[in-house]
Amino acid sequence: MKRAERDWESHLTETPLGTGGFSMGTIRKVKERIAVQERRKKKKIVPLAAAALVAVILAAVVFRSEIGSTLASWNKPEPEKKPVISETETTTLKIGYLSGADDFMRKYGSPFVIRHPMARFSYSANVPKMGSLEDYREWIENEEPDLVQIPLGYLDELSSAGLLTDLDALLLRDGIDEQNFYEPVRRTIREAGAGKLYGMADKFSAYGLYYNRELFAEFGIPEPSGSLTWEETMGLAARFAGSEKNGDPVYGLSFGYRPGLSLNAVTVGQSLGLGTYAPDGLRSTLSSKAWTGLWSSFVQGYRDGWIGGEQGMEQGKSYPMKELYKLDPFLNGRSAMTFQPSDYGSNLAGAREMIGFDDEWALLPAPALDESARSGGQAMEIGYVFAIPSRSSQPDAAWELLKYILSPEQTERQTRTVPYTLYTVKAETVDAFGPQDAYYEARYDTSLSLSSLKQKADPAYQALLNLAYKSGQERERDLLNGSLGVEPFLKQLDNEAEETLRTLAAEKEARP
Amino acid sequence: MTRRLCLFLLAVCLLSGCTKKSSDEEPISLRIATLDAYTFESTYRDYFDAAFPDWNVSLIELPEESGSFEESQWQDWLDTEKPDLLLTNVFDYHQLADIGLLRDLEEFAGRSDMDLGRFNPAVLDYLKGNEQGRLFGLSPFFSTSALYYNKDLFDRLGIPYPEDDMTWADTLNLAGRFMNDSRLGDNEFGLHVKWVSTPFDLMNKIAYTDGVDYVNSQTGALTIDTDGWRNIFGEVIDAYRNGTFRTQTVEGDSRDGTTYYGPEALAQTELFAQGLAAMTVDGDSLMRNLKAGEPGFRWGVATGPVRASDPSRAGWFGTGYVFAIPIDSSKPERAWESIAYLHSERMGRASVAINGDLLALQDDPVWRSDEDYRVFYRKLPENELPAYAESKVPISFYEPFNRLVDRRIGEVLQGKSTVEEALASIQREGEELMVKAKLESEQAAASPSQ
Repeated sequence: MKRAERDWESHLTETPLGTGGFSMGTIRKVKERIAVQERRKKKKIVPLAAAALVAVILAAVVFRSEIGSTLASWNKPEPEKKPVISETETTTLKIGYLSGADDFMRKYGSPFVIRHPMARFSYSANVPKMGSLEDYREWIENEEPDLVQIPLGYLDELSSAGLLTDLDALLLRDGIDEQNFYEPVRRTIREAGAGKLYGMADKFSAYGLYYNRELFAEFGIPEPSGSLTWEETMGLAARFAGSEKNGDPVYGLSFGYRPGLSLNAVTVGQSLGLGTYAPDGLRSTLSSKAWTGLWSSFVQGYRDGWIGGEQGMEQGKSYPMKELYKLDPFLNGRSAMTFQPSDYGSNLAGAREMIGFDDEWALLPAPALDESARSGGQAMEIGYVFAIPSRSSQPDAAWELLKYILSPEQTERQTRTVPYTLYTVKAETVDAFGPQDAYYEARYDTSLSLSSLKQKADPAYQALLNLAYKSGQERERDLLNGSLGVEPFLKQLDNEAEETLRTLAAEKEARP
Repeated sequence: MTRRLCLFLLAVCLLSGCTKKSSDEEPISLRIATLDAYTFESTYRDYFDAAFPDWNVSLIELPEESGSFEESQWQDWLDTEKPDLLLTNVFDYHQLADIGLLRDLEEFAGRSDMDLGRFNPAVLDYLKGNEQGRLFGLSPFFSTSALYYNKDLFDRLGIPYPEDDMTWADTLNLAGRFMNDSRLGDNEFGLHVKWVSTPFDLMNKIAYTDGVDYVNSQTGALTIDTDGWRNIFGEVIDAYRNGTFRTQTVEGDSRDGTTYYGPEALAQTELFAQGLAAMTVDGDSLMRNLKAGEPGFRWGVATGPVRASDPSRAGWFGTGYVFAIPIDSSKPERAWESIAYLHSERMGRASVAINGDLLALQDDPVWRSDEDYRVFYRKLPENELPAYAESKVPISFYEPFNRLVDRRIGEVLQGKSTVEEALASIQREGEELMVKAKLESEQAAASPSQ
C-alpha cells in the first residue's frame, strides 16, 4: 500500500502508523531481513531434499550390512535423559508477574507444579507494573528473575540492551514450530523485537463488531459481511432509525452499558490509532479530518436515535452483572450491532443465562477508519509478553515453564476456565475459537497494533484523549441539540489541548 | 562423515515406519460421578489432565436429592449412570459403604504397591467408621484442629507453655492463670475460641471432644442429665464464674432470617491472630495463615485438647470429598489407578506447593519441609464419620432447647439453682420440647402443601 493512500495517517502523532515507533529505515531493514530469510529457507529445501534422497538410496546399497547392526544398537534402551526440571531436587524459579503470586499460581503455576512436582516459585516483590522503560531495565538487572512479564512496547529496547533471551534459538533447539503460535501475534511480537522473538504472549485482545442476525432479518436489512469501514457501519446503523420492537426502540448500533457519546467517540478513535497531537508536540490534532468525521457521525447517530443513548450504568455505583446486562440494548435484542472488545463473549453467555437473551448473533472484525485502512487490518492488543531475562540462572527451566504456558494443553485448560479470551495457541481438543472465529480470521495491522501500544503508554496522548472525553461529556447536550457544531467544538478542544501540551512540556522541563 | 550421515538418514526413515503409533488403541474413558462438578474442576481436574492426558474423563453430577436417597434409589441411580469412580461427601460415602455398593479399597491397595501405613491413621480410622469397619474410600486431604499458644504472652507472665495432650480441664486451668493475673490487659484473653458466645457453646466443644452427646440422634432421647454432662457443666460454670474464661458475642448482619458476618465481624473473632489471646483451639488453616503473614508474636502449637478418657483422640476432624469405586464400576482398575495417583508422592509433593491443605499421607510435613505440621498427624479424630441423614431429631428442636439451656446456666451462675437442679430441669423440659418438635415435624410432613 502506498503511504499516500493512507490519507488519515497525516492526522496522527509524530510517528505515523506503519512504523510502530521505529524509524521507517529500521522497519524496512527488518522486513527485508525476514523476507530474505524466508526466501532462503524456501530455496534451500528442494536441493536438500534431493540430496537426502540420493544419500539414502546409496546408503541402502553400499552399507546394507552395517544398517542392521546400527538399527540393532538403536533398539537398545538409551540412557535416561536428565529432565530439565529435576524430579528429585527442588527447582525454584523467580517470577516477575504483574498480578501477583495467587494469580500466577491459579493460571500457570499449579498445573506446571503438578507436572513437575519439585518445581517451586519465588516472586519478585518489585515488579514495576506501570513503570517506565528505565524501571524495567533496572528491575531486570537488579533482581535477575527467571521469567518476566514485560510491556510489549519495551521489548525492543530491553532486548537491544542484551537483557532478554532470543526465543528463536530455543524454539529451534527443541524443534518447536512457531506456527503453533497465532501468526499475527507472532508477527507483532517479532516486529516489536526488531525481527527476533524475544517474548511471547499467551493471549491477545481486539475489538469486534457483533450483530444480531434476527434483527437484520426482521427489518429486512441485509446482513453485513467482511470488513466494514466506520462510514459503512454508521450507514448500516442509520437504516434502523425509528425502528421499534414491542413498543421499545431498536438501535442500529450501541455500546453496551456505557452509552455516552463522548466516551464512545473517543474509544473508537483510540481503537483506530487516531493521533491527538502533532510531531512537534505543540499542536493538537483532535480536530483532524478523521476525528471530525468520527465525531460528526456519532453526533448524528445519537441525535437521530439510531445509536443507543439510553440510560447506562452510573459511575461509582456497583451493579450485579444481571442488572448490567439489562442496561445493554444488544443483550436485550434491541440493537442491531454493538462495538465491543473480544471478551464480550462472556456478557453474551451471561445474558443468555441470566436474562434469557437467545437471539442469533454473529461477529465481524472491527470496522476500519476508511477504505485504505480496511486492507491493512485492525489493531490487536498485546499488553505484556512473557520473556526470559538473559541473566536468568536457570534459562532452561524458565523455558520449560514458558513452553508449558504456550502449550495447547494449557490453552485447553485456560479455555475451560476463562473461555472468552483470545489465546495465542490453539487447544488440541477444545473448540477454542468457536463463535470467536472472526477474531482469528480478521486481518491485523502489526504497525497499527504497535503504534496503538505506544500511544497508550504516552502520557501526553492519554491526557489529550481524556480531555477530549471530558470536554465532549460536558458539551454533549449542546452537541446533540445542535447549539454547538462539531467543528467549533473540536476547534475549542484544540485550544484546550494545546494548553495542556504546553503545561505538560513545562512540567517536563521543570523536572530535574 | 558422509557414511554416518547416510546411515543416520536411512535409519530415521526406517525407524519412523517402525514407531508409528497404533491407531487401534481404544481411548480410555472414565465416568466420574461427583456431587458438584465445580469441586472436581477446581481441585482435581488439573491432576487428572497431567497424570492421565489420554483419558477421556466425563463428569456426571449426582442429583440434588441424593442426600436423601434410600438403598434402592442409589442402586437404581448407579445402574443407570454407571459411574466408574465416585467423588462425594462423607455422608453419601458412609451410606454407600453401609449398603454395600462400594468396593473395598484395602483389597486394591494390597494388590498394588500402595502402602496404607503411609497414611495418617486418623484418616483411615475416620473413613473406616462404617458398619464393616473397612476402607471403601480415600480422600487426599483432611483438616483438623490443635492448641495454639502465644509464646510472647506466656513468657511475659512467666507461665510455662502448654504441653501436648492437655485435656480441656488442663487448658481451662492454664487459661485461668492468665485471667487471674493482674498484668494481663483488659482486652486480652487466656483462652479464646472462635464463635463461643455462651457457656453452652464451650460445653458443646468439650462434649464433642469427650464423645458425649445430649441427644440420641436415632431415638431423640435426651441424655443430658448424666455424669458426663455433670462434669462438663461443673467445669465450664466454675471457669466462667471464676473469670478464667470469657465468651465473646460477635454481632452479624441479620437479613431475611440469615445472619451474615462481614470482614469486620470476622476480624473480631481472630483475637489469637491479633496477639490478644494466650491460647486458642483452631484448625490447621490458622497455622498456614500465621506462617503466611507476620503476626508480630512468637507462637507454638500442641496437640489437644485430648479426650479425658482416651488421650489418643483430639481435634475436630474432617476429610475432603471421598473417592470411591462403585461395586458395579466397569473400570475398577482404572478408577483405582487414579485414586492411587491422587494419594502418591508425586501428587503430594505438588499439592503442598499449591493449596497447602493437609495431605492424608503422613509424609506431608517432610514434603512441605516444615515439621510444625506434624502436630496434625498425632491424634485420632474426636468425631466419627457422620451420618446426618439418619438423624431423627427435628431441626426445630435445637433453637428452643439452646435457649432453655442458656436460661438454666444463667440461673446457676446467679446462684439461684445448682448444676444438679439445672440438668434435671433441662432433661425434663428438653424432653417436652422434643415431643413438641416431633409432633410439629409429623404434622408438617402430613400436610406438605403448607
